[in-house]
Amino acid sequence: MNSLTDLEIIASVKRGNQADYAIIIDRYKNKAFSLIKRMLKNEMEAEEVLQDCFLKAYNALSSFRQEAKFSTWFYRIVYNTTLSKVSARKRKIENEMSSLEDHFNLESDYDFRMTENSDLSSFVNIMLEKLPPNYSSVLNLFYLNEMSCEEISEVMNISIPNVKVMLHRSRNALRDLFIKNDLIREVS
Amino acid sequence: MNKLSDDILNKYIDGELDHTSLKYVNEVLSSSIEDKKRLQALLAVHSELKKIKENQVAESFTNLVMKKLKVRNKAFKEQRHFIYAISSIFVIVLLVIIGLIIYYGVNQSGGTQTSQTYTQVIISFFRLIASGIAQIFTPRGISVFGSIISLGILISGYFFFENLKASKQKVRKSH
Repeated sequence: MNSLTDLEIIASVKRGNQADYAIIIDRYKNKAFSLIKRMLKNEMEAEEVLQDCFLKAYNALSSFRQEAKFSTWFYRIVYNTTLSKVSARKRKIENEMSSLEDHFNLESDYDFRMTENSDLSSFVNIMLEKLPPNYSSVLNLFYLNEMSCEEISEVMNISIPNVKVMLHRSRNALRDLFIKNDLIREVS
Repeated sequence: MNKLSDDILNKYIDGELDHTSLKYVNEVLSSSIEDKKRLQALLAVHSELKKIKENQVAESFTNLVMKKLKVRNKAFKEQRHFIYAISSIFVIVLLVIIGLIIYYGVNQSGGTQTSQTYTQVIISFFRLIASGIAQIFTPRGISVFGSIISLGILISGYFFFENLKASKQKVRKSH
């Protein structure tokens, strides 16, 4: 059953085999959770939003026309739901203004003691969570979900050049940290 | 001084440069230590980003979502059944009213239609319905009919919202 494609599973769910939706959940839960967690920067909230996304997707399955890949369609739901949550939170707590801003400064968030105790991968993971939601989403979708810039632009509803600008900016910000702290030597 | 912009270096990594640009970049990189260092740093970031790991969601997550889906579906089915039941009651009441109109109409005409032709029976049938409807649209008929319909809407509305409330509570309990 696990070897079936997304479309085959969706067709089965649409035919009334509700239990097959569990395969879709198992297939996407961790990657979607990573995206949401990096956008919200809160594990508990991320899990709640993820549940909401799967329920929304299930209820909207009839509107899925198979014009796009299921993953693109699903991640669009995930991204929009999470963005709504971020915006709602932003309205509530004015101090979190930086979350949706276009400019960010990783250096100010960077804890230099961190690299003494942990490896470079954990450092990158932590820095990813420091990025504004839209930037961390681009990196997450590009590297973890292995999506193309075209697919990311569909998920985030922005232009392809914008996706590339965000991808480059995020990489450059991390690179500057790598250079400044002489972390390149640690990479084999 | 940097000869290569960040944009070009990023495009170099993503393999988006055309042959001429690629040749130029390679030439610059072989002569500029500064640019080479920047590229190496960018490659290091690129390589580390490729290694980022998935965050694991709780083991019970799938079961939890499936349970919620079942509860939602059950609540949705209950609501649908309730709407069907209410609609059926309305249809039955309507049929009873129409039946009564026809019955009284037939009695008033003295049951003569048995000797009429099939077409005449149909015509008289529709005439009876029309006269019945016309009776409803008398001032008294409208007020009686309106009262029955309003009462029906009020009662079904009450039960519908109670049903909705119970379903929402069920969904909330499953969280």
